[in-house]
Amino acid sequence: MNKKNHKMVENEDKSYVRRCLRGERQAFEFIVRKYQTPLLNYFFRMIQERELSLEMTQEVFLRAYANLHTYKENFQFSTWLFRIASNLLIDYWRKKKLPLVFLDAQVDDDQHAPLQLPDLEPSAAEQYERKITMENLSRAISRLPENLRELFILRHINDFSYEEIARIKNLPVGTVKNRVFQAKELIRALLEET
Amino acid sequence: MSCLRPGEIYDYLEKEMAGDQRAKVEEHLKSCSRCQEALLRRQALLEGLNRLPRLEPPQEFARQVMSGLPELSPKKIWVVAAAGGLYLLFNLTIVFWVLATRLKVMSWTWEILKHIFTLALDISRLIFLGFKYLQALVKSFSLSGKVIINFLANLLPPAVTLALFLLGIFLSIAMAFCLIKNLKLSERS
Repeated sequence: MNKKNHKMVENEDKSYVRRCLRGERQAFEFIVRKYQTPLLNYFFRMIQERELSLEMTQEVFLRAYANLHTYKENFQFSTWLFRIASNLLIDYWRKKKLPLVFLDAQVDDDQHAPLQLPDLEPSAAEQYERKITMENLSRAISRLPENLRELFILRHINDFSYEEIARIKNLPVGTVKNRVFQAKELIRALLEET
Repeated sequence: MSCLRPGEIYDYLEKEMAGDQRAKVEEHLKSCSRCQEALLRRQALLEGLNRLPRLEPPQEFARQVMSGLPELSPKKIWVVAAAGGLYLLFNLTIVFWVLATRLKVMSWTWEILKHIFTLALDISRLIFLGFKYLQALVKSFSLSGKVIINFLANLLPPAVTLALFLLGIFLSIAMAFCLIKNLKLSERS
């Protein structure tokens, strides 16, 4: 999406929000229709349960609607919405008492010293391409550690820029970039294992 | 240029690289088969990611969400605004109080507030008394009216009483009209 289109989408979102705040309830339906698929895919890739992902998507919209008056127009609406989604996910993991890996936990952020991965011979490229089936790829994503997976999904499933992800997760852009890089290299390694 | 680092390859593929750096990378790629291979592998991964099927919500999902939304009443916003206003007023009072104390203008500030309070109290008393007298006046009028009507009803036939009563009302209105007119005339002169 180029900058002009990006700006247009942003303004469109803000106009829907303004209409909702003026009491035009139906304007929120445009927001729901626009973000239901990105949110559903975000949750589905994170928790791998369709019904639960639908419930969580609905919950995000409910929370967003109830707190619409707190939205500040100097922020992008999509990042605000995904921040709600991300917080909901953290709540879910806390309730499930899953071991949380915090995003600010120490990981090696140096993308110049990547993970130890098997290096393929040049002739193996085609063979490698064949391994990238949708099923293998989905499985590899689901095997990523949560702290890397979330950032990876925001970048490559939801198509957010590194700057936008940094705003959603409240992390430095460099950290986001390095974590996404690590996630991609891990997926590559997992695909090569298969 | 030395061989590309994996991070640089992704930056190149995702167009996160500045123009001049991009040109250098392209130049290097022309002559380095190892980097070409590394790039192809990562390109295949990114293309695979783009092809990943996206889950679609059921058709009625948006309607379902809309029907479950709470009422976002403007009242709630007004309540918040009113609460905010009161809070601001409270803060201003505190600030005013502190300033008045510091600037040693507390004594006359207090005097002014006292006078305003006394004035408000006097006005309230006046309004209360006014209502009280008005009530008494209305009551006395209604009583005297009743007495006159009863007297006339006993003295005269009902039809004549009614006619006299209507005439009385008419004369009262006419008199009030004349009075108002005279008042206006005297104002002009």
